[in-house]
Amino acid sequence: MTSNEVTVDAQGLACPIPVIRVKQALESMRQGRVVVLVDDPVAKENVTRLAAHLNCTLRCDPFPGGFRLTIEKPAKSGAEP
Amino acid sequence: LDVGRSILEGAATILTEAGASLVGGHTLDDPQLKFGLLVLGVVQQGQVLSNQDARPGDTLILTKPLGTGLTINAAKAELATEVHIQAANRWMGTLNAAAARAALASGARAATDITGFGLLGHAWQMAVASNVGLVFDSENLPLLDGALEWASMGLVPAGAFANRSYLENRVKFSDRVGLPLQDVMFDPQTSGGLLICLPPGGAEVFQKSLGEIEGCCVIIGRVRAAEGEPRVIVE
Repeated sequence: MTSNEVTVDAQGLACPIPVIRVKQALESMRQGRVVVLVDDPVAKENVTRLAAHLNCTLRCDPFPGGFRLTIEKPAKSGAEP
Repeated sequence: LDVGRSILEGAATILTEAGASLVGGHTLDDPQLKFGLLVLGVVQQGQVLSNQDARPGDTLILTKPLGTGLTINAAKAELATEVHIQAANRWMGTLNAAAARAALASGARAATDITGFGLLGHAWQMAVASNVGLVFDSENLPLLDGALEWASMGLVPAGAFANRSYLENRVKFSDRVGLPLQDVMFDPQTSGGLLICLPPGGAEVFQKSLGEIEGCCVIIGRVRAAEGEPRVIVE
């Protein structure tokens, strides 16, 4: 775990709230990692779109009852603080 | 209370414009604010356009821009500006009556309104009902300002994903149609426009019939002979 790691637990939250929370988390850091827990396939798809939009990489892993999305924000991306 | 008054005033205004009378109603106690109207009417024979009579060689026009579902989601996320919201509201508050009259005046063969199944869902239904194929030109689609941006940011409504899932093997996109534009084409529309199928030359007559009335008439595609699924092609 790096110091620049934030977890967003978006389980039980309907869109667009997960996307807003993840966007805020990414914009609050210069670079780092945001781990997102979602239980809604729609939230997974929308967070994936957001990550691509902000030039971040995203890995999706299964998680009990949903998905664990690991977003890496490089030093220069579209989500500057 | 102000919101309730605005809703009722808006309903009264649009009912008057539509020439309809409000003859009853009931209320619900529900956490989410909602308002709806059930419309009953009488239509003269020969004045009804269904989605069953599109023919190969016909032109497809759309009468309102796409993206109301995305704009509503962006408004919920507080990312849409007042200008975006006003533009979407103006289109959602525009009746399809003038477009329907222009459709009849221009010899339209078929029509459908674009609502919850999105442009592609309703287009696919028309293609099946008429046993034809539909080809859309992705570069000519009228879009609300901001819609593509909201789609690429992940503000896509749940209904758009449901529409995409249902239509997965029924619609084919060319490589140049990016994911955001696909999302807009699957976006569920509130009070969307009409997708109208006109015979060759009908678009000019339609535009003339619409005259100065606020509305749009954009040629977005064409009808071709049925070749099975995918019935709907986006180029």
